[in-house]
Amino acid sequence: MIFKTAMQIILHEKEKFLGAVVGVTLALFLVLFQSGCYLGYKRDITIVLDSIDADLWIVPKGQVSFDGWVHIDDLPYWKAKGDPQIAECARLVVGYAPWRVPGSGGKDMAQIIGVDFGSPPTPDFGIEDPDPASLLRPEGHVMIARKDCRKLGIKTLGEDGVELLGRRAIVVGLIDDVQLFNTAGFVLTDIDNAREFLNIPENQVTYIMCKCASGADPRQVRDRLRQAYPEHEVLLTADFRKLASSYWENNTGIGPVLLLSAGLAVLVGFLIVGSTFYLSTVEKIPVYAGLRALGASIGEIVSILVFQVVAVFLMGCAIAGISLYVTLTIMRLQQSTISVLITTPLVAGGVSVMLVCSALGSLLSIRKLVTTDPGEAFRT
Amino acid sequence: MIQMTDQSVLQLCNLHKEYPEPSGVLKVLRGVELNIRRGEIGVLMGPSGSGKTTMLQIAGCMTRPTSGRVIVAGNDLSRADEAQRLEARRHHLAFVFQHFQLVDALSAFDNVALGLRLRRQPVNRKRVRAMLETLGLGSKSHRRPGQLSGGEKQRVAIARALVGKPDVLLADEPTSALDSNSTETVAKLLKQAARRLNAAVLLATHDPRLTGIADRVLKLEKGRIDG
Repeated sequence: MIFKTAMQIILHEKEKFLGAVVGVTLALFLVLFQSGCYLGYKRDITIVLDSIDADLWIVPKGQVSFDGWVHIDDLPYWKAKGDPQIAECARLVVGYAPWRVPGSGGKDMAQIIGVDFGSPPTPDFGIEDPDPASLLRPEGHVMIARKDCRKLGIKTLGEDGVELLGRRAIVVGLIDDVQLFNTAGFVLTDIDNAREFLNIPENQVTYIMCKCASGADPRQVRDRLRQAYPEHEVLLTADFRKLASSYWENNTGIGPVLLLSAGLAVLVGFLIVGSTFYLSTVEKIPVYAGLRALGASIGEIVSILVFQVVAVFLMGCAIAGISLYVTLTIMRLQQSTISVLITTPLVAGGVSVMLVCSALGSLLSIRKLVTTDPGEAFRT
Repeated sequence: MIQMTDQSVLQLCNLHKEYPEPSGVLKVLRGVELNIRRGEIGVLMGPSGSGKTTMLQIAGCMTRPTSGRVIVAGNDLSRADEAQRLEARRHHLAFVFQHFQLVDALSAFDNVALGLRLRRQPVNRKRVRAMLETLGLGSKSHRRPGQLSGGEKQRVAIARALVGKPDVLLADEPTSALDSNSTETVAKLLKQAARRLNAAVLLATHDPRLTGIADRVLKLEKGRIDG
């Protein structure tokens, strides 16, 4: 009977409760979407770095992000090859070059990743082709991110070729699930091709990655390499990741902005839910007082409110979930370059935050109910 | 001194109620004596501020008296704690309010059924329907309060109060929000229903027309019952 009463009140005052449902929906949707954008942005900043299973990175001195323009000689690479504490060592070339878009003739920026396929650790981008090295080794051969096809003007693979910094490039494959945070086109190729495209001398690379031998302590190896190559910087992967991530977050301010937006969404949801339930409760105080006079316990009266809060919360969550799914589907179909990463912990966190907000929002109402004197039924 | 009889179901003995005020103490009730028997209808009259509502609140176990005794169905509840007073309200008392205090979202039937549920009694649909029939609302049991007239709403409130077969019904200005036709109907039906259930009724009102259903008219003046 209590739950029936609570449900009937919701149905009877559906317009009022719809406001609270919209509040929960809006807040949860924005929290998940904004936080998803933030996570997607963070993932994209270090997407190449994270794709390589290395313990140490030898980088140019003063490196502040992954997207550096400075290159180093590859001598440490050759020396590391003979180091007993280093199991694997590879080189990576990273740089930007203008890509002339076929058809329009316009130019767009592309980030070129040149991989030394013959020497692990190599990046793992989940490429379906079993032998990407053979595919990318021929002169001018590149793969691009599937999401960038429209942006880079690619309709079919292996076409006549496109112009990349004045050289001819042929797109021979597509990579799924790769997106760069700065919206530059993602171009993967062999290290020699990359040097050609970027006009980098043969003995120059951007990074050297090392995988330590079993039993070797990466910190000790790092310290030893730092002493051996004082003209370079040697970083643990975690440190380089942190450096790269914080550089773009701090310089663009995107992290605080997105998180602030998510925080505001939570606040708005909290206020809408809180005010809706409070006003609805205050309006019914004489009725609740009447029910208390007739024998209802405080627990029963509070149960009516709690049931309403839970019902509104669940409805809001369901609508937010559906809205988010539809939005992400449309973005995928439109090949949107906005990266939104929705993870299970994010959803669990977002729902938990909204649950806490709904609970806090209803606290004032619960307090009002708990202190309701049955005698108030006589007064109003 | 009050006379205790077997039929006495509500007794107020030397009841005092005082409220602290910045200028001193406001004495609302000053030694009220009252004894209502089963099936008896007492109409409590008095000017505004005379303490009628306070008296009903104390008799209804909602407020404690400053001193004196409140005995409901043989139980002295003068110093009862909140749980005991709630039990007394559930098992012995019922209320009709000036502004009905019905749940707008529920039908007349469900409002009356809720009265049973709150008293921890099984929701007997036949009994609910019979009570609504008694109060002339058989054909309107599915309607919500917003679809009923003021008189009909008060009849639903009376049905909700009486369906649990209380020993005492306390009504505060039950007809003040009604027109004169509705007042007569509600008064008549209230008397019939209370008589049928052998419930004691204490009804506070300004309306002299309600003295017509009274077995006893009680005048509350200066905190005391006169006569």
